[in-house]
Amino acid sequence: MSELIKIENYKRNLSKIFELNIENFQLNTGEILAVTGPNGSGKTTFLHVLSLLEFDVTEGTITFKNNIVNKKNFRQYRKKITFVSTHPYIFSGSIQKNIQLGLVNHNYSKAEIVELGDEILGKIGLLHRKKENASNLSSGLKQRLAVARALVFKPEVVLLDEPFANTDEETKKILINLIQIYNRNHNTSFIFSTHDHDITDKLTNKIRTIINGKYYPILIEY
Amino acid sequence: MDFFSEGILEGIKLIISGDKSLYSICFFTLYISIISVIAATIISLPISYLISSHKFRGKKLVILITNSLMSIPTVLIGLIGYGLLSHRGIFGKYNLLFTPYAIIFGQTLLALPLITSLFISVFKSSDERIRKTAITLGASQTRSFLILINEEKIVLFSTIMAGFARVFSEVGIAMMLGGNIRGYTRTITTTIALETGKGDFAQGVALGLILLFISFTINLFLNIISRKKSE
Repeated sequence: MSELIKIENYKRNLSKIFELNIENFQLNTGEILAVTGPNGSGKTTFLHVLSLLEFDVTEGTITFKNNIVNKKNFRQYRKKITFVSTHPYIFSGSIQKNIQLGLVNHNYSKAEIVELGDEILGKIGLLHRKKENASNLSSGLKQRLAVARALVFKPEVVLLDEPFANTDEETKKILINLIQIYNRNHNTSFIFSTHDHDITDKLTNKIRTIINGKYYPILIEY
Repeated sequence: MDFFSEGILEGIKLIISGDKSLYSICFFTLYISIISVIAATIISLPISYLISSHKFRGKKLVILITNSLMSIPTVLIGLIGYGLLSHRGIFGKYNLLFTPYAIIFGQTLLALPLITSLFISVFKSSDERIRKTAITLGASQTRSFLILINEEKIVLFSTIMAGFARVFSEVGIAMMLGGNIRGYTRTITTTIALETGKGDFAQGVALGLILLFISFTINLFLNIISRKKSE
């Protein structure tokens, strides 16, 4: 397993009393990590830092495949990372249009866009409904669509913020299966935040903890 | 029958008769208003997006100025436009004054702060997950901007229609920059002003009714759009 993302001595003030502190974090290619911790401990912020949506490093370093990420190059690395929030945004239009968005952005051919889109829709049980308006889906189905939409263009890193929250057993099973398929077939790395230890056990034994903004590379009971 | 109701009756007769000059004035007004609003929209979209999505020094001042310019009097724009387009102005060599282009130029200036200001509000209040989700799915800055426009198209369109209503009903710019030349730069509002002054109340009323009808249609349209959005 080669090193994919590394964070060292990262500190960021989130408020006057709250600071995100990551002394040493590493994610390797094809690795699945679970991040746990109490509500409001900084799990979502941690995933945001990793997503490179914005570059906000004043203290410490972030490296991607041994290259230091900086203000000039962070956009080229974030193309390889995707992030799904707890309440994902579903774009207006059909389910098919939503699933194809990442493929279009990553310049897949027209045939691949249709083929890969339909293939993953089949895996999440939405192929027969692909022409329907995505905003009419239930929250659980929206979650399935959001995770599938993030995986379909084969990013190197997928960040999932509490992907199993508010989902039924069937959706949980489908999402776990999807994560395992992409991890096995495409060597995709995953980091997901969760409070659910049963689900964590099904996906990985590598559990990290964040308590009061401080990152621990081990599981700490809280 | 009093003077007013007589005018309305004559006006309705004129509309029904399909008077050629009356309808050519209406089409000309619609044409220049649409072109002006399209031009203002094309300019406003990137500007308002940049203002709303970036942090920079003086941002609040820029927004304050834009908001203040929303209610700028049309005659003032007419005056500025006259200064720019007249023979002594910096664009004087293009001989645009008293042409339809001059009205389009002035009306674009009129719609610009209104549309920009409303677009800024739309972008500021839009769901921040739209841009973030687009980016995490690999969209470039330009593409995420286009996705945002697509997501907010209904609100943006109603904003454009508000800009259209503003330019469609204005008189100062059309009069000062167009010169109210018959068959060339005469608009609905300048004709109403002229014909009423000449005592031809019926023609003024006919055009006034058409103006009202178009304004009513725009408002009805906006109402339908906002209802659709809230659904």
